[in-house]
Amino acid sequence: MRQRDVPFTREDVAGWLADYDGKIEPTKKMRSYLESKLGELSDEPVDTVEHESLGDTTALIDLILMDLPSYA
Amino acid sequence: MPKSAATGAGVSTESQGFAGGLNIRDAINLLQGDELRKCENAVLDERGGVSKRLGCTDKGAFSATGTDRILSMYTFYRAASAPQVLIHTTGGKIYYTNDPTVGAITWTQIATGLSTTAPFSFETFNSICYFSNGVDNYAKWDGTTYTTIPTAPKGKYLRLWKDTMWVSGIPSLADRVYSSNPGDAETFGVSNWVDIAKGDGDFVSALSTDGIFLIVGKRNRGFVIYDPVTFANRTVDFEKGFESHFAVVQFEGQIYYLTRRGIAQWISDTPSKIISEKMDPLFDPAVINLNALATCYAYVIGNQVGWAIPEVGSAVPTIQLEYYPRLAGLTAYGNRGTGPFVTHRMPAGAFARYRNGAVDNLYCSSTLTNKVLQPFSAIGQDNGVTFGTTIETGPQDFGQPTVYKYLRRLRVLGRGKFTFLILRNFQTAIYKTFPIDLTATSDTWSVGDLWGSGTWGPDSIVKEKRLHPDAYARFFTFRFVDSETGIGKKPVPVGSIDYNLDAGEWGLYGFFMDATIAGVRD
Repeated sequence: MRQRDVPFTREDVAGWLADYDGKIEPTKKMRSYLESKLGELSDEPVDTVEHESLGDTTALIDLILMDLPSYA
Repeated sequence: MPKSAATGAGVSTESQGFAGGLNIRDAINLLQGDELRKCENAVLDERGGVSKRLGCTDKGAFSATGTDRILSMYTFYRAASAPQVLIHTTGGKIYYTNDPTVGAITWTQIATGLSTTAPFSFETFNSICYFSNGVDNYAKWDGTTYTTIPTAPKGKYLRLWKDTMWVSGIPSLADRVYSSNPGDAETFGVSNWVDIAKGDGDFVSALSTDGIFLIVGKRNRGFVIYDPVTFANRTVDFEKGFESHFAVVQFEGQIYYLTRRGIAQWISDTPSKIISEKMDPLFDPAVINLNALATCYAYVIGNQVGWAIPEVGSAVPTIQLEYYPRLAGLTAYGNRGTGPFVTHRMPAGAFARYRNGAVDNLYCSSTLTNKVLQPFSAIGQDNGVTFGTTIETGPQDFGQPTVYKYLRRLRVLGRGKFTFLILRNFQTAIYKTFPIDLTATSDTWSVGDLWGSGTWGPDSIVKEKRLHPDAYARFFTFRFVDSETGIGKKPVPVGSIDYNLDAGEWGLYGFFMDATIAGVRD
């Protein structure tokens, strides 16, 4: 799946985080929480071949966890 | 300058114009004949000529708090309505006006409680103005209503490219660039981001575009994103970065921006070219405030491209470095070379150009007051304060550097009123002073005159003045200064009509000299 084809928006994630009971940081608890929201797309490989620091693909859940600071 | 002549011979010569602009880099004895050692508050508005610049008109205060200043400003163009000018102030407010052309502008508040230090970056998309500053929520303004979009990335910089809004400058994610969904600047896909040179210790300091690429400027390097879908990117310039998002400017298909080492011209697929070599000494930490270069702002007016830059000891811009791309010579391949620079000292920081109907004006923030000013407008002072212009040539030796010359006669061609000074032999002391007044009206013919009285009019704006300098030197330096408060007129011939346009109080086209080569004098 290409980055732009991911069917979730920042608004979706911000809404989930507003309901999250805890600190906004990439913990195991946060990962489980977001996985429950993303459902089967959680581990969907997203094409990140153009990212210098990532592999050819990265799981969607990992991309979201990497961007958590921007929701703070 | 002139050809060599034998001792005792007379030499008649003329100045070579001033199209070379400022050169503060080269040794004082190596300036070219058309270069200037000093050029402050002057414009190169006619190739080879130089004029005092126009002043800054007071457009009124935007707040009742005298200490308020403008952090950034922007013209919000709306196809169906008149443009609005928006300002973000140190009072933490954003204001707009529907008409900046009136004497005292009426400002209406859009939002308050915003950052008092982080300037908003603005961009227009889908007829809506979006703004973001890395501190406050990303927001939009449709001309009447202000709305925040708190889920959008909170970046310092915005840029519209390929039908999407690009955002960068989140302090905790300094390498990251975000993109909105296509055609929608308010919705951001959860994974629409890429890190540019992740973890290189640098940070994104500007976003721009040449239409083909998104230019991502970091403070020490330049990159482009060339595919808006895959976010594919590459390094373009490995050693020149961008000092300020607001100091990137486009003029006639070229992008110019401020780097640590001077003004650079973006060349897309190859490293940028520094075009301000002759101004190199300006970019010394002992001269400019490196720690405040993020406050630099660029502007375009007419054929002038300028940057407001803070000098050492000031946190806000104090001088304007101005570039004239159109005065650059053409190469054999039809490419433009590098044009000349001048400097100004205007109390001007942020800029916004406004075009509506017959009006095409530049507006700026006052760095000294809570006012908006209109620079380069038909007034002789800067917000009521007199400013002087200084122009100084390099030392001229008449082709005979080792012997003295006697400067017998000199004619100055120009307009207006100024003072002509002669310095000699690389000394800083003034050797000779001549007030020049070319404003006096000639005795033109009228019906009351008898035959032979007066000349057939009208009076000329451009005039000549003859001087007898009676000056001896090996090297002559010519300086032109003033402390005038008025404005002048500049004739522009358009076929059978001469348009006399507003111009600075005085202008100088050249001077013509008669000298005698004297002997060696110790």
